Formats: sequence, structure tokens, C-alpha cells
Amino acid sequence: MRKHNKASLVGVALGLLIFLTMALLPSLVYGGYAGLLLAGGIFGTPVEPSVLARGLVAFGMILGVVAVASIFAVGGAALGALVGSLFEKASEVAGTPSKEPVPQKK
Amino acid sequence: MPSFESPPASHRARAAPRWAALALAVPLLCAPAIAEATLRPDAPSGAGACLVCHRAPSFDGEAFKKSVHAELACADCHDGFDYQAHSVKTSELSEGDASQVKKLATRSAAPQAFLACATCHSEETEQVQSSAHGAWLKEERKSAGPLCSDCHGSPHSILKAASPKLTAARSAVCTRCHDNADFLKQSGLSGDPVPTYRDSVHGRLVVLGSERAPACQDCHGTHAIARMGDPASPLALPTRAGTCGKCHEGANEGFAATMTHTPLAQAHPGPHWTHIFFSYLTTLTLLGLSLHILLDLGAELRVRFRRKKGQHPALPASLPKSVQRLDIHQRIQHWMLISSVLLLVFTGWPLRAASVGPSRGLAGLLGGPHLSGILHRIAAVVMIAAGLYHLGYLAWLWRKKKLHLNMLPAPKDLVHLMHNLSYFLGLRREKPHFDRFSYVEKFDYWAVFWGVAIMAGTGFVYWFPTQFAGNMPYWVVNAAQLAHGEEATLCALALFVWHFYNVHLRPSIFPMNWAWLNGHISTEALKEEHPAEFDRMFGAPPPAPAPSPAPAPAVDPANKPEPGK
Repeated sequence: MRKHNKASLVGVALGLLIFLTMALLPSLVYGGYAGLLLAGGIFGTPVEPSVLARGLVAFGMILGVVAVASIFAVGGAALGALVGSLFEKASEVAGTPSKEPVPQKK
Repeated sequence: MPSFESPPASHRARAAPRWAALALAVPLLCAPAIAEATLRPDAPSGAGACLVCHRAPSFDGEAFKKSVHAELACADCHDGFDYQAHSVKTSELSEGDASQVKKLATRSAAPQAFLACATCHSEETEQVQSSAHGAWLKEERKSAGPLCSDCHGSPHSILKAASPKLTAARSAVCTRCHDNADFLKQSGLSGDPVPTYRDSVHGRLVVLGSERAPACQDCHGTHAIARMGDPASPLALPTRAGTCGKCHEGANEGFAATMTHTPLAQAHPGPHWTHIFFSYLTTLTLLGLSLHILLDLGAELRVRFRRKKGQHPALPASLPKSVQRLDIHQRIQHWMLISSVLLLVFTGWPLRAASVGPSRGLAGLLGGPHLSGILHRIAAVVMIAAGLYHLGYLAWLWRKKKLHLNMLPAPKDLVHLMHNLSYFLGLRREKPHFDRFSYVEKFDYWAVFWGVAIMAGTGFVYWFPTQFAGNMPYWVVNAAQLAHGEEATLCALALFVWHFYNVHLRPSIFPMNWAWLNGHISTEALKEEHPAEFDRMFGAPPPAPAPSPAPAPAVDPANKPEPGK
């Protein structure tokens, strides 16, 4: 399990790296859009730039980032664990010692 | 002998204008030929004469060569103009034409040229003149209306109607006026047709690049466009269902009533209150869940920093390393749910947030909006299948008398919630004594029941709108469509923030809870997170011995007081 954890952690790191390079801005935009929709439903449209409405949009942006980042993190962890277990299996198969008893010298 | 002295000044003065005239005349005489050479070989003769002066940017010769009007001579439309006499010698206009030219002159520098459209496009011209767009030419209106060029573009660069033109581009033609607040105000037109179109499912599909979704012209008509109240309009009540039926087989009046330029949430109290309800539900739920996560995270970090070695002794070696948490059926159901929900979110969210920048690219990655729609429906079927599998599994457990009702909410869950919040805030030293399923897992479980029911039910309304609209009021269909998108927002955010935190991202679990893959939970984690279940499985630990009384202080026999004293 320790090896799986290491591979998973590497997967998480890679997932978050991909998130930061490709998905951070879209997640901010989508989250903000979700917040704006909620603000529209609660405060009415057109949404006035009140503190609460802005807070709701910011809350949406934070949730958007956390949600998308968690997808990348968990996905990376799962893939990392998969790769780790494959490597482990491969190394077990490659390094399996012979089970035949070594003949003893008389 | 003539002298070769310079001619006298008077002679030089008379010679200079002649040379200048010759210098000017040569290029002017050759210019038509040069200009002619830039035209297509089959261009009408004489067209090049106008090109001497009329060049880019006012006239794009290259675009004209590619246009459907390339075989026409300039004077075919610009009546009365020719190269030799650049003045208008127009044929006499009828009173009606003269009145139209006068009105067209408010919008164009070549008003009479627009009369020439009727020469070749008589049918279309008659349709426009009798349409809502042509009324301004006959009546006094608050503002001028459109010209042919407003919709078709400059006559010098018109392409064939069959040329591929994106639906989005066709919609954009109408938005130039109908999305112009000043024009709407000036002309007295009401409503927000363009924003409401863009917010409709049709508009969203067009924004994502669909070529099948309708543009304005597909519903409202083109040259013969009529006002909404006009019986001749394809959207008049008697004929609206037929217009919808061009794409939606079986469309009826109920279905036609679901698609208007009124925002869904304003069309009827039903959709309105649905929108309000889901907005509050989503906001308050997410706020509550986020607060819980923050408090939990704070408590986890606090415990980690304060934990001392030896404070949590290792479990006895006789205990197994792990126990089964999820059997294979539960795991398969979970995998079906994960894969289907992820695909539903990736295929559905671009349509929900179509106006957001990355949506078109995201939809394109998945093969476009219509292929995304197909994938969305496939994922929905998988999700429903997972739900049915689960119900069948529960029925099977019940028949085997193995169905435990430990997932049902109970009053103790509220007690545990209050206890847990106190623990998060440091007011209690220990976490609640959770059994197999804590209130967190129960919330996740029943939220999925709620979510799947809402999403599947409203999703079917989207999938079969004509059938549903034919059997229920139109506002129920609109309310269902609203609920689908709003519940999707709540589900996606709750899943990827709340659920993922609790099962994967919490510091004590990170990077992952493996139960969803291998079905097992470590005994240590079981003791930590579900101590009541641990005690039931492995026996409760013996009660802690009562603290022994403090030993009596040692008495020095030499100082022992004598009895009675």
C-alpha cells in the first residue's frame, strides 16, 4: 500500500500540474458563471454589483476551482495507483526468484 | 533658317497645357483597359471603366469577382451612370418608386440602385415590401427599416444562398438591429429577443457550433417575415406548431408554447418559483457543505499537529489489516455512477454554460454539440441502469434477509452532527461514535437518490419534449428544463467538492480512499472513522479501569499519634 501511496501522490502532483496549466482559468470562469446564475436567481436579473452578489460570484469561482482541481487530483491519484500497481506486478514477475531448492554440497 | 533658341514665353505657355492634357489623357484612356484586366474574363465589357475610380476600400473588386453579381455591369443596378457622363440619367420613376427612393436615401448613398433588386428578384422584393421589414417604405415609422444589404451584405459581395454559412452567422444578421438597444427604443420594438434566443436551447446549440439548430430565419421566416400577431406569420398561434414540426416531429400547440422569447423563469409562476427554489437550495446547500469542509479541515490539521507519538497505540496484531467495506455489487454500481456522472457533466456543462468562452472548445473536443448530446443520453442510460441495479440489489438483500436499514436517517444523526461540529470547533475532545454509516455518508447516499430522480425525470422531458408537452401544461415542461440545469449545478459541485473531500482529499485519507476500487478499508481507518462498527466487529475494548484512590501518605511510626489524643 505504501508503494501505491507514493505512485498515487505522484499522480496527484501531475494531475494538479495539468490542472494549473490547462484548467485553472476555465474553472474560474465556469465557477463564476455558476455563481452569477445563483445570484440572478436570488437577487433577480439583471444582477446588481452588490457585495452579496459579488460574494456569491466569488464563492462560485472558488468552488469551481476546487471542484475541477479535485477531479484532476483524484483522477491523477487513481491513474498513479494503477501505474504503480502495474509496475509492481511487472517487477514481481521479472524478479521472482526460482523456487527450486539449491542443491547442497556434500 | 529657324533659330534654335527657346520659344518665346507666350509659346511656352500655350504648349504647357497641351502637354499636361496629353499626360493626363493617356492614363485616363488606358485606365479602363488596365482596370478591365483586373476583372474576370467573362465580366461584362465596360465594367472596368468604373473601376478606374471606384476601388478599395469603397469597392472590393476581388470580392465582386466571386459574388453572384459578377456578371452584371455596374450600370445594370446603378441606373444612369456611365463612364463618359458620370451623372445620373435615370429613367422616370413612378410615384411609388420615387417615394421609396426618398426613404431609401435616408439609409443609402445609392438609393435608386436598390430598386434594381426587383429586376431580378421580383418575388423576394414583393415579399419584403409586404413584410414587417418593408412597412417603413410605405408608412411613416419611428425609424428606418432594413435594406437588402443589411441582411445580405453588400450587393458587391453577395454569395450564393447555398453557400455554406454558419447558423451563427445567419443569426448574427438579425442581431445587428434586434440586439441594438438604441434601435429597439427608437423603433418601439419590445422585449429582448436576442438575449432570450441566446439563452434558449436553440441559441446555446448555435453558440456551440451546431448547424442543425435554428437561426432566427428558420422560425420567423425570411423575406416575408410578419409580425407575431399577423396570421401570416409562421409563429402565429394556428401555424406555430407546424413551424416547430419542421424539426420536432409530432410538435403540437403545447410544445410550441414552450419556446418563446420570454425567459423561462418569467413565463409562468411555475418555472419562476422553480428557479427561485433551486437557486436558494443550491446556494444554501453549498454554503453549508463548504462550511463543514472548512471546519473539518481545520480540525484535521489541528489533530495532526497536536498528535504525539504513542497517543494512538497500534491495534493488536490479531486483528486483520483490513475489512470489506463495499462488496462487488456496490463497487460496480459505484463505477457505473462515477463514469456516467463524469460524462454527463462533461457533455452537459458546455450546453448549460454555452455563452462562457471555453464551452465551444470543450464541446468541440467531444465531437460537437450533437455528438455531445448523444453521449449525454448514453451516460444518462448508464446512470439510470446503476440506479435500477442498486434497487434490484436492495431487493435481493431484502429477500435474503440481509438488508440492514443502517442507511436510513435517524435522530442520532442530528446529535452526531452537533457533536461533530463541537469537535471541529474544539469544544469536544473526541469525534462522535459513528457506526457503519455516519450522517455524511447518509447525506451522500440520499442526495444521490434525490439527484438521480430529479435529473433523470427532467432529463426525459428534455429528451422527449413533444411527448411531454402534449400531455402536460407547457409551464411544467419549462419548469423541468430549468430544474435540470439548476440541479446539475448543485450535483456537480456537491459531488466534486463535498464528496471528493470526504472520501479522498481529507488529510487523514489523502490521497485516496481505496474502498471504491478494492472494496476494503483498513482496520485502523475503520476504528478511526466508524468506531461503533469496529467495536461491534471486534468487541468493544474493556472499560477503562476506575482510577485507583490515591495511596494514603506514609505515616512515620515514631510520629503516630496515640489513640485518644
